[in-house]
Amino acid sequence: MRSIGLFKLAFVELRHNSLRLFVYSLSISIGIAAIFATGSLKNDLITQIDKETKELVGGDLVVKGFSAINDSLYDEVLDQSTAVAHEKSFASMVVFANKENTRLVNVRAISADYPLIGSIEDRAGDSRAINTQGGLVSINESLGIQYGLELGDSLFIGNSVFKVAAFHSKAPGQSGIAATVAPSVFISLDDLSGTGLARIGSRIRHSYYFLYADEETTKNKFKALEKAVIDDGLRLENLESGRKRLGRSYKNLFLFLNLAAFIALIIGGVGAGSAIDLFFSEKKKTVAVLKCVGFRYKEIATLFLVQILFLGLFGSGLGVAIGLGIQQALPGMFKGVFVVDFVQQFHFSVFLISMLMGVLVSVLFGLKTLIPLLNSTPLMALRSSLVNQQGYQRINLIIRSIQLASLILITWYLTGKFFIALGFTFGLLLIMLCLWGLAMLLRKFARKIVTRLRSFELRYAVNALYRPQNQTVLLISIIGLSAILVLHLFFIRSSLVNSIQLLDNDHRPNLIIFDIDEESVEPIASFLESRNVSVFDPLSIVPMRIHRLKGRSVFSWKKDSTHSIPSHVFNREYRVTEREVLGENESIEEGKWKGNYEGSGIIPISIEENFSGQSELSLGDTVEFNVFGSILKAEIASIRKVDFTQMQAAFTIVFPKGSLEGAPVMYAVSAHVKDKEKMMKVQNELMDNFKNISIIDLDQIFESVAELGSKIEIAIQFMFSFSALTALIVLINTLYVSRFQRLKESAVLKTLGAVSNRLTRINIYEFLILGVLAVVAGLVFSFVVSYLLMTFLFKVPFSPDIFSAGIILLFVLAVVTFMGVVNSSSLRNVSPIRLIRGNG
Amino acid sequence: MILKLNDVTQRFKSGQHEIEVLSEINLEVTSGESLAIVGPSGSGKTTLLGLCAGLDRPTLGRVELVDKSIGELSEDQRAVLRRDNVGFVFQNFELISSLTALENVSLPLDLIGAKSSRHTAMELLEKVGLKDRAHHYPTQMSGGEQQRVAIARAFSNNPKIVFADEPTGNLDEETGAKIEDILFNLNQEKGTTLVLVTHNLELANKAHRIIELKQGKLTRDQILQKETI
Ligand SMILES: Nc1ncnc2c1ncn2[C@@H]1O[C@H](COP(=O)(O)OP(=O)(O)O)[C@@H](O)[C@H]1O
Ligand SMILES: [Mg+2]
Repeated sequence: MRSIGLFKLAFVELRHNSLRLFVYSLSISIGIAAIFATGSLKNDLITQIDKETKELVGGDLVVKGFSAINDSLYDEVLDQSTAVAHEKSFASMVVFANKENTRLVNVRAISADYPLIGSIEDRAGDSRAINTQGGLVSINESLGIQYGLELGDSLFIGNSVFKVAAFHSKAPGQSGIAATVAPSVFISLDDLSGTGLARIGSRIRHSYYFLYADEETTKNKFKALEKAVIDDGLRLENLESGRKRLGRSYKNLFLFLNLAAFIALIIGGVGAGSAIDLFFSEKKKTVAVLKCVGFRYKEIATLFLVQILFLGLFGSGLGVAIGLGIQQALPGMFKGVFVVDFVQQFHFSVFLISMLMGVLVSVLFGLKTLIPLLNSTPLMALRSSLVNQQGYQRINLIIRSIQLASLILITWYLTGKFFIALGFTFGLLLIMLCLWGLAMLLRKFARKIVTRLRSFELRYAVNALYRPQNQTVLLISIIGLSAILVLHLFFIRSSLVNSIQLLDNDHRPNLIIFDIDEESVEPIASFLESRNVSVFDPLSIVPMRIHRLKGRSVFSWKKDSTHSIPSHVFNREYRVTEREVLGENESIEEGKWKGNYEGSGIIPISIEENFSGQSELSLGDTVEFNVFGSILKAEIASIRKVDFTQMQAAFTIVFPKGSLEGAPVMYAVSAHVKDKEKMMKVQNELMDNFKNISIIDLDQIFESVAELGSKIEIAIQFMFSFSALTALIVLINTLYVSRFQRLKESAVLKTLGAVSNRLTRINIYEFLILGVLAVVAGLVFSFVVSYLLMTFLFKVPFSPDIFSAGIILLFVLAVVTFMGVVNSSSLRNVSPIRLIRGNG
Repeated sequence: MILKLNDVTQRFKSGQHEIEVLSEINLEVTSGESLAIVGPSGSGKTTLLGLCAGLDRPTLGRVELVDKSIGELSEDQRAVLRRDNVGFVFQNFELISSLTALENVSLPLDLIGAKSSRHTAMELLEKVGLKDRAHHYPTQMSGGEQQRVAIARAFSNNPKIVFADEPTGNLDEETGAKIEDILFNLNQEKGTTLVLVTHNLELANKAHRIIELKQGKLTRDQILQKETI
């Protein structure tokens, strides 16, 4: 009976403050919306990857590699299979029939049965025709649109002429990012040899797809064949490994999204916590009265806990609703970034976790207020003295510890890595602490300056920052934090962009010609020079793969889970060069540079420092490389640092001069072509005069990547705008909370003879100063953080985009001041007569 | 005549009813006089004080404060009138919590734009015995101390007339008595007119003149100490 009454009381109280509490809950909502939206996005992607993995992998088992499978192994895989398909793919140039355009594409030569799973979807024509008739291609529709092609048009690949038989819109294994750089072009496997492109030394990726009757067979086959395939320098993929590989490529994105959502949640939590704090601090008398009336400690605790829980639930529910809306909008924003087109679904687990987090956060931040409140004595109903906050240090310490532990746990859940969670939580805490200190300092500083001024309004406004209900320091910190999040993204981007532009343009190659054989290097270089194009030294390139690392076979490394070397270290093809001297953009970090090789014994090589960390290779370790079937034994003689920002050819592994004799060396020539028109012309002439070469137009790729980058950036900005929104809501909360105080002060000032314009001015100044302080705090902090990041992580000169920063800051200032103006309009009409009645 | 009320009637709309809180009040206060308003709770004392101080306008009749008719002034004009001529002491002290005692006291002077506001404020604080608390904030002071600061604030702009609405209502007896002394002493010293609402008969008896309100009507107007006027 009594407990029903208690609940009633709890809700009656909530209803009386409904508008205000609605705004409180909103602070939680924004964070939860972010958590829910990103969680849903992640689950949508995982669901879709799961669904499409089979199609993306292409078969029950797939053998992949940069060399053809040998016959006996092929027969073994083939045994018991129900279907088989074969694909050879490589980057190459197509020349369109009008000879005006060339383009780097991904040529995919396929057998008639390809794809075993899924299909090539055509927008026009029929892609299957390429394997029933010779001399036909199916090209990616974006390519067709870009170059204005129609069915039946001709184009050259290598030595052959093809007719466009179809425009495909979607094909298995075609990823968003790769498709923009090199769109796919399907030809028949039978037409490949005619192009003259499939020679020894060409970088051809072979894929053999197999289907089996049942899972059991697939499983047994995988087990039986894995070692043989890896030993042969190839890769064996099944559904499981495919899923892993696909999921991995989004890991960083997910991590990033989760952290952004978490920041929004924390800001929201702090905001809601302070709001709850103020709401309940007004409840001290209620508690005392309840105690007078005979309510027990437990009952009062229940009363407030019910209220907090309800607020948390309500806020989270609202957050989920907002999050659902965002979930619908996200795919549009991320279009072209993901491999799969995904379908939005409602994920119950995400819903549950979002709700739980919202409630947890509101309870966590509410606890601090609740406990001292409960200890107020009945006497306080009689005297209007404050609840004594001293003596709660131990309880506060415990609460703080619980809060900290929960934060780490939530981050752990979101990031999946304990140490990242730990680092992130403490990092955020440190930033908040620094901001807090900075805010206090700025406020003090502002008071020092302003008290010297003549203007009464300014002096009064700056003093108002010390009003406890104003939560000035909290506001400056939160607005500052949002400013930091947005600003330093801007700063980092502008610094990176500027550092690329800063490079003397003539020294930045924008055209790379590769797959050049030894005889053609000189002619190509002199051809380019004759066209007044600046040419850089040709580079020799030998593709190779790791055969054994530190004496152990690749297979044994892959089976071993005690190390953390990522599998791509073993799978990837290394393009290795031989050189006598260090490049301009390189410096030795460890060991000794060896530029020459005498012709016998282990080869001393140099590796790049990041690769050294990744592959866990240090000085003196041995690596055996597989170069088209022959094995080269090498030892790490030096570790190099490479400045990647200089846009020069950068090699992970460098062999000494003379060590790669006899290996099938191909050459690459890079050049700088001044204008766009000349670029086209030079490319066409090169294609006409030199067969079998490939050309990469870096300018074009930059454009595609920049476009993609801006898409991702929009998404990032979107996430960060959440925390900014939360800051705004906290600001509104504060206005609510301090409203009574403001009204009263305005009435006092009016009684003392202040005219209404003066009150307005005081109010606007107050918010203007608040805005300026927040902006300064955000600016100072993001400057420092970005400077440190640029100098020590990216190693690029710090050149902040002051203009954009200025715009953002002005915007922040305008919003804060606008809130002040809106707020003051109600204050100037306050009647002083209400004050003397004691009801403000 | 510093304050003059002529047939002042004040009505408030409450819902559909209109209630008459003050009916046809006539009152004249001469400069330097001290006047106590007494009466039961709800009889209209605060309403009357608000009208006298120019915080509100009468429904009917005429209120003249320092020779200006309140009813004909705009809100801002009334504010300026108060700023230059009026001091006010509230039952709840109403100090600005973000300002120190000294800053609170100099607030009326700052509103005028006076140059030596700090100096004047400090002198007043000394008079109310709080010189050593000048840089303390209201929350760091007791109720009695806060009211002393409020009294100092009421006198800081050298007003012609000071209004006080139950200035001891929120204080214990002992502290209240001390506050009364301070209020009357300052009033005497500065030659200010004092209009004060109180329940406390002892306090009322310190005034030159007592008026009593009952249900919005003046029921008593008694001069106690003619000789000091
Ligand atoms: N704004 C208002 N609206 C309606 N009634 C009011 C208003 N202000 C005062 N009253 C009423 O006027 C009467 C007198 O109030 P007040 O002057 O505060 O009395 P006192 O100060 O003598 O206790 C009370 O009944 C009160 O309810
Ligand atoms: Mg009253």
